[in-house]
Amino acid sequence: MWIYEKKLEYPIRVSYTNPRLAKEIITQYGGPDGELAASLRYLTQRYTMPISQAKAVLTDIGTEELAHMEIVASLVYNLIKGATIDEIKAAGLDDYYADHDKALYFVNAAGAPWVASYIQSKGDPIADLHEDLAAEEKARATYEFLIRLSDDPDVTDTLRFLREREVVHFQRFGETLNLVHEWMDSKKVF
Amino acid sequence: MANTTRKTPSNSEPPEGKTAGYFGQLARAYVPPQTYSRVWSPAEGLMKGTVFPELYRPYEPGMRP
Repeated sequence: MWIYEKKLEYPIRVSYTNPRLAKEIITQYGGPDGELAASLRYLTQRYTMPISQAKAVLTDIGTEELAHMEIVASLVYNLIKGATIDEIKAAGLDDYYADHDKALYFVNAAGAPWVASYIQSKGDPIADLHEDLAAEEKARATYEFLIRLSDDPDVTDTLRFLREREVVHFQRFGETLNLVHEWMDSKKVF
Repeated sequence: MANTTRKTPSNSEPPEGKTAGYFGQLARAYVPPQTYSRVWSPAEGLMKGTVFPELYRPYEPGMRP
């Protein structure tokens, strides 16, 4: 169960309509290393974690990734909502527009829809936590690519926040991995 | 419950002269555990993305990890 906070975790602002940048940032909405994949991965893997601390970390971080999904959605929507048809065509967003108008949909930067095979839920807590550590690094890398692509300082500011959260999450998953290793070692002894 | 000590299990003591303690086992990934120290204010932490100075890794385009 969740409690909904009716404001974003981090405030967003966009300087101007920019469908080209929206087309790129949408990959963090529905792409392979995006926030939907991250949140569903963690909120699904949590059930088979062997210790309560690991369940709690996956629940907390999965919840925060939902908040990040909302931030990314707000960025994309605000970047395209004022765009004219000519601007959408010039940005190469006309393919997307044909199917979705200016609605949000889970696709990567090239328009491929989100699929569950982006994520794994292995049941082995060590394997799952290694996937989670990798997921944080892939998301961090994606945010760095997007920062390089961004020509909007307001959008870049939000991308920097989201990128730093990936760094923090990596640390927390690493500490969780240590705890799970310790738990497994203690099972061997007793 | 989890063993909270940061020791290598006794059946895998590191070789003489090697790093003792938690980071001793082969074929395992380790991240050093964070210890609580100084924190920024909530407002500054929100702007930076973390309240922990030791976890703050700002990125500038052009740099490589």
